[in-house]
Amino acid sequence: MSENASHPPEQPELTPPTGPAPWFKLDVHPWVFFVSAGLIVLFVAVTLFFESRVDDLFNAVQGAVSTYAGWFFVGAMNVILIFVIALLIGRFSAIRLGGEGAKPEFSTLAWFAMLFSAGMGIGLLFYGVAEPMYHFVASPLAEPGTPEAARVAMDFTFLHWGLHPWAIYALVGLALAFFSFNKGLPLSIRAVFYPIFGERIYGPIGNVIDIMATVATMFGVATSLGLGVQQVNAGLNHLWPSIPQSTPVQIILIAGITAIATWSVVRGLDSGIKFLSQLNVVIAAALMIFVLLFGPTLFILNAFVENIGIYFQNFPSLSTWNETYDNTEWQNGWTVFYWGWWIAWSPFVGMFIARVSYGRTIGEFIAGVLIIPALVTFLWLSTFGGAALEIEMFGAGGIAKAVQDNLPVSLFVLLENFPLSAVSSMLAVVVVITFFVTSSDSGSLVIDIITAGGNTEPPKIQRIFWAVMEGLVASALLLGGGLVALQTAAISTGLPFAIILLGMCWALYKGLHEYQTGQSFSVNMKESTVQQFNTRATRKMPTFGRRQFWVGRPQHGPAVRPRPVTGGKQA
Amino acid sequence: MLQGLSQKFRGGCMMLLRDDGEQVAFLGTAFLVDPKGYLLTAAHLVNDPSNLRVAPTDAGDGFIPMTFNRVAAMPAEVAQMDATHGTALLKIEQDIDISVPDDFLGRAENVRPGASVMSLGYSFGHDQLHTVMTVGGVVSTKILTPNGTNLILFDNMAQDGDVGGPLVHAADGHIVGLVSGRFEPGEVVRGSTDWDRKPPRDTNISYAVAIDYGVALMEKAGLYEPVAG
Repeated sequence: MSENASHPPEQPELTPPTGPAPWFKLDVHPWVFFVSAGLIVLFVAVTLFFESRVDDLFNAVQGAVSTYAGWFFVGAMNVILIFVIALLIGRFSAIRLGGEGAKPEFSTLAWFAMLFSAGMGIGLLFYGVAEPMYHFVASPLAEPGTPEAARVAMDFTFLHWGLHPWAIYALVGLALAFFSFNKGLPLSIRAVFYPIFGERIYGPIGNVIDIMATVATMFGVATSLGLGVQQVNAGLNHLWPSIPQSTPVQIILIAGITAIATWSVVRGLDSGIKFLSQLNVVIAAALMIFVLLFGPTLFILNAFVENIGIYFQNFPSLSTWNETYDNTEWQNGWTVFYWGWWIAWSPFVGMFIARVSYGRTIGEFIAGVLIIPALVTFLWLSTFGGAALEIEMFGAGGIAKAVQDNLPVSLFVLLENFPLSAVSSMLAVVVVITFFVTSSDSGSLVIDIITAGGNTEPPKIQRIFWAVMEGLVASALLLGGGLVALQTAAISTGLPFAIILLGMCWALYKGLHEYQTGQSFSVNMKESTVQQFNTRATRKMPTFGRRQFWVGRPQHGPAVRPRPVTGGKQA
Repeated sequence: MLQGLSQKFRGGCMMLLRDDGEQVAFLGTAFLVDPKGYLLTAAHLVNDPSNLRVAPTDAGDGFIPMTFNRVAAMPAEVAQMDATHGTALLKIEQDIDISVPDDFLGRAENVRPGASVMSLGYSFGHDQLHTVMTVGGVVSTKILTPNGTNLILFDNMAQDGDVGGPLVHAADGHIVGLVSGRFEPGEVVRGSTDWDRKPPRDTNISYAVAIDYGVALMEKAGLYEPVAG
């Protein structure tokens, strides 16, 4: 924690804490905690027993959502991005999360490391190489394999990983942080719906919202963990053929990652999660700099500048492109899939970002959650995607084939084209694992907070419970099948949540407007109970004692003592 | 923007009065800062803390009567006082329902010279004009006085009845000062031996003490929660 750090005010909880000793103390919201846990076990059991039917069902749902609601996703994503940019440059930008005088809890670097590690995760590592390759060899808007296809490939990759996903995170994170830190509501997804449901958020409606968020977060993180270890296993097998690609190895990997994540989440934000996120960002930066220096440096730097130019040049048309006149379904498998994925992921990432953003102004928040991460992502994609394209177009080639044969291996195949590949591959494995751990621990923390009724410092035993539960769900689905089915189900929740996000824009605007100007003072007194007096003109106004300002002894240094941070909450 | 801000803050202003059993005399303005019935005002208005009362008036945006022969006035006591920095915290001694916005108290350091500000007060309450007036202006400068008080000077002509009212920073919608009076350079140079020209009185510049002194009194009265950790 930085030297000037302050703490966010303790958030009001939905249930009072019970029990004496910290380690055995439980602080659960009974409905949210137990119903969520029960639903998770039930979903896993049904998926394990009826895998093929569940798979078919969720695929059909996902297919229908993409086909019939693709236009809605595309429209909603753009509306949200415009809304967030308007907040950045508009009159609300000076509002401070936590109230006037609130000081940020973490240094800017630690804050950025945590939100970036939670927001992007492992996908960036694999798809940074793979996605430009996919679009290069099967471009929807250019002849495959041409320079134009390369430009379009980077443009689409920027679209899918750029401003839009971060705008979604910024919206959810900002809404949660504002309603929690400035309005005194619990840090829980239900809080965002206060302008719509009022006090009813504390009843069944709020419970359902929090249960949905908990279950969606659990399946999002657990299926990513389950599917991701298969990729890690494939990568390890490529590097060291003596490590087989097998379920036991993958279970061991899940156990290891879960153990580190459990340690991290038990240590808490200040040490465990912050430390691992910073480590993650440092190692990832080292890997990127390695590729930048030992790869086609000039090509990457040229590409970085040009890609950003192309992105903004084509931004209006590409971000609203719907394949209307092409009669193809390319977009369903890519853009619409991504939009559903980011939206489904947003309760988790948004809530985590909110938790770490106390004390930031809205302007700082949006710059830090929208602009900076998008730029860093662009640099990352230009480095890895650019290096892959350079090798494919002007070098030895083979990256596109590696991507199609075995996606996770393609990262290591790319690194083999540069010197010291043993070192860089090892670095890549470490980055993969730290990205995993940082997604897992932040996911656990979010579930901990929601199921503890908004307590931002949930008891340690509950942190262990949910972190271990994540590992168990991932292992069960890995052993019994159903990872893809549940991930598809999680993405399908993107549609209802997209509608909720649009409502969130309205709720947030209403809340901010009321906060800044709409609220007023009111005094309700029964005049009959208050004594009445006749009024009269005053002949002599009190002035005695107002000249002390000019005759006192001069003082040096600050005249106003610093006000302790109170978060603006009055007792 | 000023219209919305004015509407927000008018309801928080009350007339500060002193009763003699049957009649009330107008002292100045006080403004609500806490739902438990606390108000801030200028310390010199309540040097004599006896028989203080506060009375809200219609703060709507319609046409309202300019004067009232009778007003309902609630008893108030001085809860905290900082005479050095000219600030007092009052407490209404009557059980009534009060609500205040979530966020309206700012910091004087956030307002800079040139910023638009708005002051509110019962400008002519002493002449029996019982209506809150909203006056706009810009911050002329910020000064540190010889006794170590942070003052905000702004270019409007505060009337006697405005004293004790809030000074609001228009851009961020927070109260940044507590109107204390008209700025009179003659007061500043009083007692100087090498000064042969008295500056004119009644400038169109007024001054407000930094709201931070008022917030410090609120903290002293336990109106803010202690910081966790």
